[in-house]
Amino acid sequence: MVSEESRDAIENQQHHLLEVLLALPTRSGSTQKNHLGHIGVSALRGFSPERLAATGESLAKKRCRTVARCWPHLKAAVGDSFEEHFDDYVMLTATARVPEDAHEDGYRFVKFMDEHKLSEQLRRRDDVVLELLSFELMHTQHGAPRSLSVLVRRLPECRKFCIGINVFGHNRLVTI
Amino acid sequence: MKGNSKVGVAWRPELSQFIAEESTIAFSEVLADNYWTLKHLPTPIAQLRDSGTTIVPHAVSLSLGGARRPDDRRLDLLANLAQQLDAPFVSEHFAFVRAAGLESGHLLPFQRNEQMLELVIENVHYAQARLPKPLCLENIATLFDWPEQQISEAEFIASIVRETGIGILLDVSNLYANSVNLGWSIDEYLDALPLDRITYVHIAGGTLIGNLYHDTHAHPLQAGPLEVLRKLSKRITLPAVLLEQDDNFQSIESVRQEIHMITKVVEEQYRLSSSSSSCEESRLGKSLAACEESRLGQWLVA
Repeated sequence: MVSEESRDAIENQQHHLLEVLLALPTRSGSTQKNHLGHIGVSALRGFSPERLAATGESLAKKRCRTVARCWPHLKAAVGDSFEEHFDDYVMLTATARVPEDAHEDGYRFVKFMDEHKLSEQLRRRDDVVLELLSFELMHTQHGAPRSLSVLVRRLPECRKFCIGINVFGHNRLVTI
Repeated sequence: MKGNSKVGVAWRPELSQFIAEESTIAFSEVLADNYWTLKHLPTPIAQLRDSGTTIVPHAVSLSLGGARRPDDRRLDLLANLAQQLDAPFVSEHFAFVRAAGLESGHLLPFQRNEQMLELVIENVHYAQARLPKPLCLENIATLFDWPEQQISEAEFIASIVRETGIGILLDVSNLYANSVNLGWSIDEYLDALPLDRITYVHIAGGTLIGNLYHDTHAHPLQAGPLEVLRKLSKRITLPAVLLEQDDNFQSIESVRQEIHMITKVVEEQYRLSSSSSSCEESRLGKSLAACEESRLGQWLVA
């Protein structure tokens, strides 16, 4: 049986690698560090710095693409700057609680944009409001699933109200 | 069961209608982590299951190569999804995705030594005890490797299989990627792998950027992974093969063409094996026979 001490040692190694990968530039030409304040490629003896850099970029892009797929209206609304904003979100929230999946990751991304006052335009679009409503009906703010919920949102473009009802995991949206 | 081929396509919302309507698609796979917190399966997935298509839940976040035991909540969510899908088994990866509160967002390789072997075996046993279905694990693609690896990946996988009885999900595109990026020999890899334990195969598109092959699941299927599939077909009767595509769904026709390319490799094998009367006595014949008896993939033929 693997001792807890051994597991701790392995965890330290893997954590160090992750710190480096998450601190690597995620944007072409960028050299910024994340708030871990840590750039440690050279400290990881034996690893190829170029390969770690390529992996860091690849990880960020994959996560961004996954969220974009799960939130198509959000992606369309943010447009060309989606990747740039998502990079900022990833860099600045690297040690926050891990999102359960890409749906929750996208929701946290919206919250991040709210905090940085980047989401005003998004919330003026009916399709984005409905996409958010669908998530909020099914999940609590912490990402846990809901069985029952009723929420009302104003749709800014058509100037109607949408009542969302989640009954045992099935959403119904009614516009009035 | 729908479909009479051994070729499947990974379920994505953009491909939902195509998978439902294409009669030759024998099975599918869903990204478990995207659906396991939902109270109910999305309607198109439930309808696909009800139509008789086998659907495998494919997870990415158990972190079986991580330092900690996989967490019970994720295992229970996967178990529940497998039950809802009535899946014959579940699949995950030889990888770690988190450590001490940091999340990678994708699959990463771990160090391969005796200590990690013991740890992964323990993690897999732990997962198996909590899952209601057999577990298969997939080799990953990577752009880097840990220094001073003591055990080759194929030998590492062989040991895990021997100790835990898991099935192998062999991703031929990932193997091809690692042959390009890390200089691995595909033949040596296949020599060391217990091929009779391959439950099913993944294949996907990718692209070469500089001198690195990126397994993007968003570019066209390349000749390299198809060649690995062909090499595999010369050693064993191919099990079910699943095409993965995650992005760039501009044309259903291109998906159909890629299915056709995979099917051709599968059919080539049947032509070759049926034309060889001495097949049963050959090494290949013995390998095929052993494979047919032991493979978990019998589910697809049943």
